[in-house]
Amino acid sequence: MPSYDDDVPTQEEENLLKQLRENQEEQQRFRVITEVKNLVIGSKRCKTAFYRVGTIEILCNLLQEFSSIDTNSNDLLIEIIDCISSFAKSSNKKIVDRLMELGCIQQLFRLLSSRTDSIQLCESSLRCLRSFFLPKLSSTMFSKVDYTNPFLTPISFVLLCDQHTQKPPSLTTQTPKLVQLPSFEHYSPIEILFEIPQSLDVLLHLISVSKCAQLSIVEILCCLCVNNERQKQLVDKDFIPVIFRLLLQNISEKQQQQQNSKLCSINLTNEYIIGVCLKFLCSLCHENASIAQQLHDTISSETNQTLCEVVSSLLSKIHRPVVISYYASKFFVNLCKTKVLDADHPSVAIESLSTLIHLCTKSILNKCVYLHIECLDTLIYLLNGNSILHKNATYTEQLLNKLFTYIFTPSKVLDEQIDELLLVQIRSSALTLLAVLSSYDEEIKKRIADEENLIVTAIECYRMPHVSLQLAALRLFHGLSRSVHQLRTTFNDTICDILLDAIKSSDLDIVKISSCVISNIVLEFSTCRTRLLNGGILSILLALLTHTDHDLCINSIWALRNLSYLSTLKIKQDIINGITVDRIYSLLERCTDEQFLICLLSLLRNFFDEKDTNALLILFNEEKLLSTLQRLREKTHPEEIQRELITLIDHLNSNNNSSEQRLSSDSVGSSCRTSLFADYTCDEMDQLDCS
Amino acid sequence: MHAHFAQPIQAAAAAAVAAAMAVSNTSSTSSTSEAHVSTPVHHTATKAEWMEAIEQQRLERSTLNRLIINYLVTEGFKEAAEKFAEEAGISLNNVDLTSLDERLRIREAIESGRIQDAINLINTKAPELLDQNRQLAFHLKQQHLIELIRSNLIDDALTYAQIHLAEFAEEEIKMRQELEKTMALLVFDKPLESPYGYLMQISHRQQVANEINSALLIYQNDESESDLSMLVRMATYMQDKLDQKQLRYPKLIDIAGGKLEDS
Repeated sequence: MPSYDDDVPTQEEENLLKQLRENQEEQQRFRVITEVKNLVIGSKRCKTAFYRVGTIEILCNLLQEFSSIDTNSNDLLIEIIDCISSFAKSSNKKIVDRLMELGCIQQLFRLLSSRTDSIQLCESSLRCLRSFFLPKLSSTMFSKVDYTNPFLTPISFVLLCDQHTQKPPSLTTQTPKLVQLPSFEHYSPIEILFEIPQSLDVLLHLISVSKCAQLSIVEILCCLCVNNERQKQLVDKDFIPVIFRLLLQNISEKQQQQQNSKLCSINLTNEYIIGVCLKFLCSLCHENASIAQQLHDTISSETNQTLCEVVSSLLSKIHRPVVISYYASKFFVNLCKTKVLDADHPSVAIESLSTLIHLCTKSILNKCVYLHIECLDTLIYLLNGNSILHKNATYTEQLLNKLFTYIFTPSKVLDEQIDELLLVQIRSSALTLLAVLSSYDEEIKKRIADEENLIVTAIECYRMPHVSLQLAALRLFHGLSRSVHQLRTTFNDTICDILLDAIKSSDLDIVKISSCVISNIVLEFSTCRTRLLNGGILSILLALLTHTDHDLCINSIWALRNLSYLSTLKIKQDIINGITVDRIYSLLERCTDEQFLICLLSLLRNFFDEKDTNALLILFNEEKLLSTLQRLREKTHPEEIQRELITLIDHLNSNNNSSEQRLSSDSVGSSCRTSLFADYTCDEMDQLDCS
Repeated sequence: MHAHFAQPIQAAAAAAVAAAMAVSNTSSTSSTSEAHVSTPVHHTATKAEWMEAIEQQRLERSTLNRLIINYLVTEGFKEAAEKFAEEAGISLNNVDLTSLDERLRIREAIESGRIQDAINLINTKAPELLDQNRQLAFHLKQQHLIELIRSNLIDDALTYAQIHLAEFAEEEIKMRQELEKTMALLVFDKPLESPYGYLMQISHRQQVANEINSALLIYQNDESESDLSMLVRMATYMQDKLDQKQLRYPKLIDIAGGKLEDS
């Protein structure tokens, strides 16, 4: 069969489109547009074929023409808008771009400002607008939505999957802080909306039109929270009190509905509005401390309840649809990650944490595999950097056992067949969450490492052709590597070979994660050290010192520092020869990167331990070194650097180079990055103890 | 009609009672453990005790009526719902009868084989549905193809499949397999008697109609399943759980008739 990409309209379809171009009386026009709409909806082929012959241009012209006519053409307008809406849902970027080029979004806003007489027209326009903003998921994902399951939100959840920039970093290899704006010629719908004068005022005004309108508007608002600037613009327009009021109103209606036993059928619109309001609040305060604080301090003028109290009340049980419970939890997660709430606050440590764990471990509660993955990712986001929650999370075996199931037999997550790509996602997220849990507490680390077949499975995952799985496996190794006991027991030759392979990968993220692991397993007592040295790790690390990626440079100098600790003279000499004395001096004089400088100074400190000081000082010229360090001391460096300098200078000056004068390598300070993931420093995590 | 629908409710209550009695009588059996071959069979109650426990369940007439109305409204039986509501003195003020009417018309169109009419009605009532759910769109178009084959319009069927269904076959293997089965009907002189004859059965139309009905209910933010259906599923689920623990109890063997097994 021919590929529909190359299709043009059939003869019948061409005849129909010809009628569309003709200027006819309204009733005839209505019939034709309806027929075009019925062909386009649900058909990728028709969308592409009709686009190729200029149907979109005709529709946009008709939209403009009939928007400005005073006569009652609402029904015809609704047909035109529903047709355009279908095109806007296309996964064909050219179609959506063309619609934007033709000014469709602007036209819809003009219509929404001027024609407020018809609720149906308003709802249709808002649905069309929403179609531009929602992520275009693959058809495979769309076809998997279970419409027979009342515990599942239907389209709303799938379409409200977080924008790429809002996802926790576990699933994105590089999380951009700002939306990558497309090229100058192609605006994103978000940029277009913010350029339209008073667009937000229009949305604000329409929020009271109907429940359907509320859903569409708040869903659009969720999509607008792409960066701190946009979040602020929404807050400046006073959306917080409006959405809070909407939230309270729908919670109240929901409670009344539940109390009214005479009802013959239950409508879930209130619940979906609650869910989407919560999602908006989550999106608004994501990675935005000032807005998070503002939300924390928000009080309802009608009920005197704080927003936190209201959201907390939604966590008293698992709701249907379960996205209410999910987004209520995520709200407190976001407040915690912005430091507005402490990690041990009950709303975080007890309510949100337990809700998220329930949602991703009990398939009887949550039958949506996407939500399982979202919960895992949110747990990763919460627990990474909040080690005091790790014990809570693993208090019962519930979470750990489920994570092992996800990794070993992911198809048993739900009693249904799951797409292969989703299985990969589940495994990646589960492995990454295990990595986070294994990164701090020794008992948890041991529990995880001792799980039968886990390490073997992690090795298999690294060997699979999916980058997300490879990264997740490496992260698990990183988490486990932060333990003296694990370095002596778990890390075998196979893992060494994997790391030697990964550090040479063409994928930067894989190189970075593997360098994090290597920086720990090169330590003196590690079983992997010799194999790594024989595998040429020294030359690899030296080469990475000049890499353009800053994190990789830091990891490399950190690894060299650890390699030099309690090392033989030969290794120290090899490191010095590899970097070169001149370059070391140059870095000392000119380096402005504080993290790098700390690592370099502690590297020098490791060189000049008791037994090798005299042998290595000859290479450096003691006088020159001391004067360079002294000059460095006179600059206004932070305390950690000053401390390192003092220690080093004293050490070089002193005749009694006793070990008590040396600070342990890892008590230097938390500014040296030890966190699991590139983008998050983790102040609470203790550094590896080498004293 | 009252007697016909009352039984499943009693059955659900019966199953709930059985579960409670099973847990209290078999203290050696953990509620979370699976039954083992060596676990002795426990009797929960005799049939007489069982019936007595059921009689003690107080189910008000209004609750039963509400369940029935809920079923009729959810499945789209508007006339039946209105008549029943009138007889039972129940208000249908909170029920959107227009929407119910629309769903009924769509169901009737599908069950009578007028699939294109059904698609047009769906696109008027829920213009985003078929774009958001490829599986639904595929099943509707597949059914239209089946109707063309049923009417022996072979050329039309081939053209329709090529133009409207090929894109689905390219996207997903399951849809391709379904399409292949449907196209295979063309090979047989008597498609109804072929291995894929089930596609030509009227029940297949009903299956599609049910799928569409559920999707429309969810689209308009309603419950997609009637409470009665959920109760029946719960009763079946609880009986399965009791069976797994090898417990003897008066099992509901005919849900529609409310017939219990002799214990």
